[in-house]
Amino acid sequence: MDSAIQTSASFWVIIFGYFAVVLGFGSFFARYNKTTQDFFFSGRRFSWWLITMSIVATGVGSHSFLKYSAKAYEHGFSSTMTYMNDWFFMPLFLFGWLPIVYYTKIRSIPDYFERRFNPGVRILATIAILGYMIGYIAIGFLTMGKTLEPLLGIDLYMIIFIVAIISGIYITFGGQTAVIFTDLLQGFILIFAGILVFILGINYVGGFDIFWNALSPEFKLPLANFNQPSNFNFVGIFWQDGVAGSVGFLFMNQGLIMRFMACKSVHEGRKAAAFNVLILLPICTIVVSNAGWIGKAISIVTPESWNATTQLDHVFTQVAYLITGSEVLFAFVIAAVAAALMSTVDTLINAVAAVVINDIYRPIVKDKDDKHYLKVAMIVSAGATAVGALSTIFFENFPTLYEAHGFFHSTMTPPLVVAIFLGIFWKRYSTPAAFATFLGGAILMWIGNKYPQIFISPFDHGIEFNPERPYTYIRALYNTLVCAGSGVIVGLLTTPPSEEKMEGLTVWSLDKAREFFKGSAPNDRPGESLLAKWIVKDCEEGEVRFSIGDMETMGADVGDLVYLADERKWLGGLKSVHSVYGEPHKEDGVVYITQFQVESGLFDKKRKLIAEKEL
Amino acid sequence: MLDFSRTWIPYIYLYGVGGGIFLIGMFIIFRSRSLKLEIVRHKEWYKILIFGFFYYMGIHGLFTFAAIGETMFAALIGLIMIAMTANLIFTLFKKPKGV
Repeated sequence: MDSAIQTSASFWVIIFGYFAVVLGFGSFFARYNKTTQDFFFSGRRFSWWLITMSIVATGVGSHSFLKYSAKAYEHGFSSTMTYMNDWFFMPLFLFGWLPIVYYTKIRSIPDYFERRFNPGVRILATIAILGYMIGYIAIGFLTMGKTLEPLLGIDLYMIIFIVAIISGIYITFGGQTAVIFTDLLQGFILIFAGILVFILGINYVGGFDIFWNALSPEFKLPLANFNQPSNFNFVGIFWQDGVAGSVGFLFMNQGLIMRFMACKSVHEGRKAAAFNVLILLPICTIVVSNAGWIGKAISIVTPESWNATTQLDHVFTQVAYLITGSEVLFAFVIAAVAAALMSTVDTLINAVAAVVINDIYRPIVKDKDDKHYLKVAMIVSAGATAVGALSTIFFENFPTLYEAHGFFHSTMTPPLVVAIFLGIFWKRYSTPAAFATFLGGAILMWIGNKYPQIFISPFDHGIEFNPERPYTYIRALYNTLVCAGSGVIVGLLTTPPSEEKMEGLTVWSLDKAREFFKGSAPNDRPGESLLAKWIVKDCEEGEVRFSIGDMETMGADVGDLVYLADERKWLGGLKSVHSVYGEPHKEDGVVYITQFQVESGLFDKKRKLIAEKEL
Repeated sequence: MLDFSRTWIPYIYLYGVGGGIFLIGMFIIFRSRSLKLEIVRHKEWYKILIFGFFYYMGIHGLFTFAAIGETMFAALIGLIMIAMTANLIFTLFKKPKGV
């Protein structure tokens, strides 16, 4: 133990009180889960702001506070690189992958692979994605263990066991709606806590000027040294995180994809993603890194108060303990890290359940009612929690969480990332080519791992070879190239798939995807949203009816898709339904809906509805 | 004293290689007609995408200049970024709503 942080009973009362609030909050929203569609995708009904805040809590994962604080303490402001290099892929995400997953209504990423290729590729994708998510869950649990280790003084694995049980309980019963709302709360809390640490830290060292001047110019540079040292260099991290990590997180993180699919429309999904990357990520990078910068400043300005033996992964806890000055504040900050852990892990556990149910269980056990699948989904969530906790063993041996995570990204993401990318953007990419990406790529990656000095060194950009951990980050470049190379070569040598088979599944046929989504040709005529009173009347199943005038205002025709939500925008779409325009009536400002829609949307009698045409 | 290679080579690599990826992405979404400039909302997204690229270039440039003590350059970039952001917000709110 590098530090002896003393805590009293009140500290633990606050921590467990926080967990109780989170559990209660999640459980409250669990009542919105009526079907597996709700459990996994929340009925595709939420506004962008709600989704973007919940994405913050997922992205700023549990590992973030610890791993970035460690690297920030060691290497300075360049710890922000990871959060500041996501924009390069935004065109392809916003106008490629996001509309494809939304309009094709895929239930999971492997589901996309079956539609684009065949069931065999789906199996390979399922294995790859489950490995990726379980690994991510394991890193989350390991982080929590390392956060609490200096405080509890008990075995790391005992802590992981306890945390896994608490996390497992509410995700198992909560589902995606609970996850989104819990993450919304936790997103705010962790941003607040991170900024609080920064303000208190600046105050602790004596003001911003002292803080700024204490740090060397090199420490303050936003990008790391180009190719050294081997455990933290710009070019390696660019390929590992900026490319493999960013694409992995945006394109193949089933948990994140499910968030976007919970948006009420593709446009809202785009807004959530753009706002997140442009506004929230720069804030979050300060939130998760600043403890390291503050720690370095403390070690220079008041070295007597800094414990020089602090392990890198304990820098965050040490700094939080020093600067908060009160046990209540310290407990709150630690609870915020717990919040981040829960947010990352709950999203992934829910995503693992989605993949297992939709890609493994449903194809084997067919024709059961939805309640059966919902029950199995809950059992799988509990199982995923247990497997994730057990998998922490694989990551324990890395010097820091940052390096564990870096190695994990470099190794696990390239095959799936390349397959998704070529699948979406390259029409010649065929089923044999997809097999080659997964299998040929895996073999070449294994060879590269076995003989790094022969195979990876040509791509090392001058990074020093470290025999203990060879090319932790830059191996992502080699791995990506061999996976892409295998796919491209086989793609060029085999017959391209037919255009018909790929309709709606590539960026080249998005109009078809929109048509599939709607069931007929999309209506892009401009229109406005409107406020309407609702009356229960018998309509055709799944339809709502507006007046002719109101339909003109909305630019809608019979058969178009419509979204109806409670007039209170701050609910973010929690009370809403999707429907279809039926034959018009003559009462302006009134919408006829069915009793079933009232119950599904949880509409209040006294509240009007906002209606807007979707497609 | 930090030399050019320590200060600016990572920046050039980031926006050279990253910029290449960004341009390829823009080319694909234009070519595939996934992004259609005749649709009002898409035109707004086009501006946001371009803005985002220069916005991040600005942030990294600002912090690099600030780190090496070139505060005038850092302040200038800060002002340019504020102007760009204001322009984007003004443009987004000014445009009529459409699909």
